[in-house]
Parts: sequence; C-alpha cells; structure tokens
Amino acid sequence: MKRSRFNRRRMMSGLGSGVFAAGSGWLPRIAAAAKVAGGKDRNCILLWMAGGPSQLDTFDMKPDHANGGPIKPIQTNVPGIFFSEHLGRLSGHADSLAIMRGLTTKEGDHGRGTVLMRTGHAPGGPVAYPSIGCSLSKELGRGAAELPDYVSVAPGPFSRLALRPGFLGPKYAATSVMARPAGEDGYPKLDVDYLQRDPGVDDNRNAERLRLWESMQKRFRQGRPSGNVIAHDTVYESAIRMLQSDAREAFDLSGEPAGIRESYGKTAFGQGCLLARRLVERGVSVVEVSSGNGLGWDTHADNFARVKTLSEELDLGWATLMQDLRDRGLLETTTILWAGEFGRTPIINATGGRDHYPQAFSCVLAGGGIAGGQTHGQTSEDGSEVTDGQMNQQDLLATLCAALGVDPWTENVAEGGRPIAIAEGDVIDEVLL
Amino acid sequence: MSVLVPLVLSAAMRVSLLFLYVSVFLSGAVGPIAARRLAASDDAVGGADAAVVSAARRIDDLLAESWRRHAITPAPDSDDAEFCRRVWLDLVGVAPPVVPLRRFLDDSAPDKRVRLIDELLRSRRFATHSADSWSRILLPDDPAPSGRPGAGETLHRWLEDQFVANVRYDRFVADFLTAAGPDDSGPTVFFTSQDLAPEKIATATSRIFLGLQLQCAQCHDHPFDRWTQKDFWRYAAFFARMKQHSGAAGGPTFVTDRREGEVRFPGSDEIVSPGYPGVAAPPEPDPAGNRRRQLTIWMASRDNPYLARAAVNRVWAQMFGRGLVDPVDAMDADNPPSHPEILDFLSDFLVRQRFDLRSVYAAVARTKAYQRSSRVTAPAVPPESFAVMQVKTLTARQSFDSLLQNVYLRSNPVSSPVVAAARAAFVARMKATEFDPREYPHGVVQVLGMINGPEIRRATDVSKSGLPSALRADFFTDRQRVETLFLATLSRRPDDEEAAWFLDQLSQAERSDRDEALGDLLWVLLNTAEAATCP
Repeated sequence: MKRSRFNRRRMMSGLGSGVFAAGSGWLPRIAAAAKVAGGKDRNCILLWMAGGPSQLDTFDMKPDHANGGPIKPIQTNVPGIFFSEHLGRLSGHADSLAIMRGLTTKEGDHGRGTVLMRTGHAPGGPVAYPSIGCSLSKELGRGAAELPDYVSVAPGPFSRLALRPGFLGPKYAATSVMARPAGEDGYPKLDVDYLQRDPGVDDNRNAERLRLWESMQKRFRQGRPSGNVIAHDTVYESAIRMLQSDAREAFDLSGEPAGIRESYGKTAFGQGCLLARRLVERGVSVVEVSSGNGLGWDTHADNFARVKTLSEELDLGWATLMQDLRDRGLLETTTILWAGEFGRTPIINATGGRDHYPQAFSCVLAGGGIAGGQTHGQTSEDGSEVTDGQMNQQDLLATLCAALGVDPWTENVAEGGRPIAIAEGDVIDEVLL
Repeated sequence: MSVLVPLVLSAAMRVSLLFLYVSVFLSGAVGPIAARRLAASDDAVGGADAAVVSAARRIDDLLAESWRRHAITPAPDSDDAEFCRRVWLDLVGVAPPVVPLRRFLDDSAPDKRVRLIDELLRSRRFATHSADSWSRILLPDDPAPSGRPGAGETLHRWLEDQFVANVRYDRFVADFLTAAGPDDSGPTVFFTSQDLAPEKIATATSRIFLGLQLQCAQCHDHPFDRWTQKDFWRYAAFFARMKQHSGAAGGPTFVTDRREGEVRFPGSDEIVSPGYPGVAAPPEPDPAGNRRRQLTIWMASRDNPYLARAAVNRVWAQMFGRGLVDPVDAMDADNPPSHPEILDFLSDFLVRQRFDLRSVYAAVARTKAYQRSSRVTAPAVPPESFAVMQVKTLTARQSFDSLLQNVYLRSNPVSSPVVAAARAAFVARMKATEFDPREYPHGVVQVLGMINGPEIRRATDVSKSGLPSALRADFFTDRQRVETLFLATLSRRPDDEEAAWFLDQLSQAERSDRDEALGDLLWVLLNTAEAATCP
C-alpha cells in the first residue's frame, strides 16, 4: 500500500509556527491541481449520515454471508464494484467514487464519535479542536462577503456540538440552515439562522436604522481607529451587504425550475443537496448536508426497512447532485465526502437491527481530486474486521485535505500558542488523482 | 358597572407598574453596588490606602520616565463618562447602570474616581466578574469538559467564594492545586478536564500560574530558554499521583492522591523525580507524602519569583488590554516585558501586600495611565507604551450582562432560568477561545445574530423590554429619552449633533409609530462598535 508518511518530528522541530513546505508524494500534484483549478477555486461538500450508516447495507455488501442481510447488491458502472440495490442511481456514478472500506476508530458513542470524525480528535481534552469544515473553510474560503464560507444544512443535535470552530475562533463558525416541516408545496423549508429581519421592520425603517447606524459608526471609528473597531465595522458591512444583496436569493430554492427541484427529492436531505449545489455555484467553499434528521441512521431495530428508505433519499439527492455538478462543470473542483460517526455491527440483532460499530466501516470520497471507480481497503468475509487498507479518522481527514489541495499539515495556533495541524494522518495516495 | 371595574383596575395596575419601573429607574435605589456591599470589608481596599496611593504614583513616574526617553506624548485624561464605563467593565464586567452613571457624572467632588474604584472593588460583582475571568482561563473548553453539564458552574461558584472572601492569592493557588474530592465540588473539575494526565496538568498550570510555557520543553529542550526537557518532567512529576474514582452511576467522579505513580522520561524507562522549575535541590518533603502539597510549598513561597509576576501581569492585561509581558502566559526569557521596572515593582508590591490581589487592582486603577483617553489625537504611539488606552472588545458575558441590566432592566442573570438560558445561548454563540480584547473575534454568523437575533429583537420590543417601555411615560421629553438611551447603551450623553440626529428620528415618527421609533434608536445604538467595546 502506498502512503505518504510525514516525519512529524522533523516538521515540528522547525522554529516558530507556520506552513511547512515539506516534500511529499502528493504536493506536486496539488500544485498541478491548483493550476488547473485556479488556486482557491475548490469546494467541499460533506454528506453526513447522522446516527451511523450501515456499511453492510450500502457500500460494503456481504451477499455470501449470513451477516449480509436481505438487501441485494447490484452491479455499478465499474465492473466488480457492487452497491446496495437501493442506490441504483448512484451506481451510475461509481466511476467518480472511491469507496474506503477500512475505517477503524475508537469511539462508539454518538456524541463522541461525531466529534471524533468531525475534528479528528476525541472530545474532552484541554484543546478545543475545530471541526474539519471550519478548518477547510479557513483555507478554501474566498471571503466572498456576500455569502458565508461554510454552511451546514439541517445539522442534528450531535452535529451542532461537533461543528464548533474551536481555537480558530467564532468567525470560522458554520452558518446553519435549519430544516422545517414541509409546507403546502410538499417541500421541507430550509431557513438560515438570523437571515430574516424582524417581520415587523419594513424596508423604510430598516433603511433609517442603517443610515443612522452608519453615522454613529463613522464617528466612533474616526476617534478610535483601533484594530477591533475597524474589524467590527468590516464584519458588519459584510453582514449588511449579505442581507441586502441577491445572496439571500441563493438560499431560496423556489427559484429553481420545478423539474430540477423535484429530481433531488422532496426531503430535507435532497433539498439540502440542491442548496449545496446552489451555494457552491455562488462561491461558498464548504457545505455540509445532514441526512437522517438527527439520528436517523441509528438503526438498532428494523434496520433493513429503515435503511431502504434512507438509501432511497440518499440515492436521489446524491446522484442528482453528482449529475448536476458534472453538467455545470463543478464536479472537478468539488470534493464530496460521505460519512457518519461510525458503522454498524455486522451481526444482526434480535430486533432485526444493527448496533454501533466503529471497528470496521466505510466512507466514500467522490468528485474533485479523487480517483474514482475504485475501492480502498477490505473487510473480512463476515465484515467484522479490516483485513486490508486500515485507516482511521485522521487518515481520512488528511486525504480529504489533500484531495482539496490543502496541506493537512497546515498549522493553526491553539490555546497557549501551540501550533496544531489540520490533520495528522497519512494521506492515502491511491485514491487521489 | 361590574364590567367596568376590572378595566379600571387593570388600567390602574398598568400605571402602578409603570410607576415602579420609572421610580426604580430614576431613583436608583436598587443599584447593584448599594444592594450588595460585602459585610467583611468596610476598610479601604487593600487595607493600606497609603501604600496603594504611593504604588499608583510610582507606576506613573516609571511610565512618565519611559515616555520621556522615547519622546512619546501621552493621550489626554479620559472624561468622566469614558472613565466610568471603563472602570465598571474592567472591574465588575458590566457597563454602569444609568442611575449611578448619572450620579457620577453630576458629582463634583474631586475624589469621585477614587471612591468609585473602591466601591466597585468591594462589590459582590467584582467577585463574580473575577470568577468569570478565571473560569475562562481554567476551562477554556467549557461548557462541560467532563462530558457532564454543570461542572463549569461548580468551579465558578468555588472561584466566586474565594474572591468574595478575598482569599490571599498565594493561598488561592495552593488550595486550587491541591484540590481533591468530587469533581462537582469546585477545582477538581479542572484536573479531570485535563484527563488527570501529569503532562497536561503541568502544561496548563505552568502557563496559568507561572506564566511559563514549560511544555515547549516537553519533547526537546527549549531552543531559547533556560527550560530543559528535564525541568518539564520534574514539574509534571508533582501531578503523577492523582487518581480518579467513579462514584455512583451518573454521579460525580472523585479525585484523590495515591502514594505511588511516577512519570518517565519520554522514550526511556527513567523515572523522573519531582523538582521545582529552575531549582536544583530536591523539593521540600510533605509529612503525608502528598506530592501536590510538596509543589505548593514552593509555589506560594517567596522563593518562587514567577507566581507574583504572572499574577500582576494578568491584572495589568485585564485593565490595559495587554500585559507588561504579552501574551500573559509566555513570560519566558525570549519575551521580555515592555517595562521591566514596573513588573518588578508590582510583583514586590503584591508580596508586600501579603498577596492581596485587590490592592493591585486598586493601585493600577488609580494610575493616571489607566485614566487616559483611548481617543487618538496625536500621531500613533506603540501600543506597548501604554500612553493611550487600548479600546477593548467586550466579552460575550459583558455584552449580555450590560444588555440585561441596562435595557431589559433585570439585574441578576441567574435569578430566572429563562434569563440564564438566554444568557448561556448568547455566550455559546459568541464565545471566543483565547479571547483577545484587542481583536473583534466575530464573523458574519455572529453579526447576523446581533442584527436579527433574539437578544436585540427583544431589547427593542417595547412590550418586552424594560427600558423602552419605561421611556414611553408621558412626563419624559424626547431629549430626556434620547439621553437615557445613550447612557444605557454607550454610558455617555450624546453630543449636540448626535442628539439632533436622534431627536429628528423621534419627532418624525407618527404618534402611533413612536414605540417603533424608540426601538429603532435602541437597535442602532446596540449595534455600534462603541456598544461592543470598552473605551
């Protein structure tokens, strides 16, 4: 197996902090990718399966073993790679997908597992590690001002805790879009936090408020032009521009043609995927879409019927997203990660369910920078252990960074001046273009 | 008739409620200071007024000397409003309420600033604010680093008790470092939040109490400093014998000290015995063999030069927005103080005052330097000259508590669970780890929350918010209304031009829209950079 192993000691012994330009297998490719993509022109979409999706019923099928269960595998558009029968549309995009079947972590609790997968670190230590979305938006963000750099669609309660910007500071926090029950048109509503003005304040009043505010602001800034006062002014200007601009329109899905809207599915996840495409198109660099309304993939009972429903939602949303991105020429610059906090037990329990299983599970990388049409890693016949290509959450995050052209060893300064890398794992070269 | 009675009553009730609001608001009978004086300390702060006065003078002399040397012209004196807002926010963590602020501005006594400093330092709110600051230092990852909610609250309560009793600082540190028992009883949660790992505890406590970055020597000898890898592990060895017991399911965890447990030099089997940083001799013995107590024998002694320096540097940073050594937890040899004489003098002063931290606050607050304006008039001067006051960004707690007290007109954040939850939600949304008051740490998300979020929406809603509701009363003139809005939000009166702008808005509003107009003015003021900072 080919991996880039960095010499951490050598890198850390450098004086001071900052980005180290270390030689490595994939850096030249990043340089090349950057040339193609034009530097910061890269996006990341995280499809988060809250609750922990069943690998045996999606991307690591075991049809020849009792653990496999009743869901049938189907041939994808890549010979030898099979997905679940409920992922029929997505199987037509397998040539853009790299299936990682060797994930192993140490956290089998929803809260802790979510923090681990999102930050790379278990919770509880003295360092508040940022979520990968925050770190990536810091690196990839265009500061386009009219739109935030990081948007999270329909995060569940565990995600909300794990989405923290940690030591990067609140300015790298995600803007959350909450899903609300479907309206008359049958589509769930997606509302951005605090993007709506108090309904009692009309345009006239708002204009008067802003006019007076600007006069006050200018006076104070003239007498006290210190860094924090200027920064306050700058961020307010951005927020106000966002409220006044067409950017708000980016969040309004009713602007999409009816056919497109419908093709993503009338679910929060499907509409979230459509929103992700609209946002990426408009320059938002990191978008994450949660599936499972909190803990939906936590299928301790009645696993197969529930996974079927969830998979159909997933299939519609994700496959349409792949096609839509491809049609718009965005798939090459947009890297997609499909993951949940852990996998599920190969053994089927007494209630027809599967329980938490962090020892051996799957994640999927797709799109920009990813060498699709392959599987990486393998589990045993019964699915209980990783037999090849074992990797942990740090390796996954490092590989995601590399696919996006971000050096995983990019350091940020934590509490007490300690430099900390975005991800410390091994980059898995084989799945990168 | 029987139908009319309830109507009359309810109108009367409304009037009396309004009267209550207005009278509280105008007479100021319930100022937090007046209501909450501490019983035990009616003497002058620090117990030695003359020493405090002469310390303040000494600091000013030393600064004046350094300005002369560098040909720096210091900023003029702050005006009373600027000083009042600053000293309230720095010492008690909240902007001054309107009534005491008015009283202060209208007071012509020459000693009014000194009296205000002493009054604030004696108030319960000083203890609460100190506990807030220390909570942030000790548990930056709060809430719930232990995985259980509420652990941070018990630490906060413990800290508040220490500051209420004005426990000597050396004693406070020793009590903290030797704390044992359930982790919902105070400082123990700090140790469990560090996983009871000796190297983590060593890193955190040396930064916090000694101002030293010993952990840089954790993996290799520090290239610039006198700290060796050995120094780090000798210090860590004091924390090698702590043990965690779990009690009843879902209950607290207990921390105790054992008689065994060692740290080893990384990559070897060599046991490292405990030793004080920079001291070659073995540590003082403890009768019970408690290693943490062995550490505190030195920690709180005059042989430890770092404790007092780190403490006074933190006070200085809290007041001036930057330490004499900056950052405050990197007081290593390669990061010298801007004014070594002042740091030495203040450290000695703290020791001479028998580690009474309040006397350091009193001395610093009395200096002319602390009372200079933050308004820039002359050419820019280096910030580490302390010749102009730094404009400091308010913490989320300072912002919320000021809003609560001056606009919602509720004084005690924990009195109602609803208010406490609102405060926790705001703090969580705006929280900045490693908060630096010289920066504005927030992004678009937080600012959208200020512009359209629930806190300011509520503040500007006349039916829910005390201040605009009280200001509807007929006997106020518009000029009084505008002045009161400014005092409540920016802690100053408007100048003529500002007053004209705001009066114009109010007088333009139709009679029926006046409530909205009041809300709009409040929205403007609460969203200014001035409201988000301490001048």
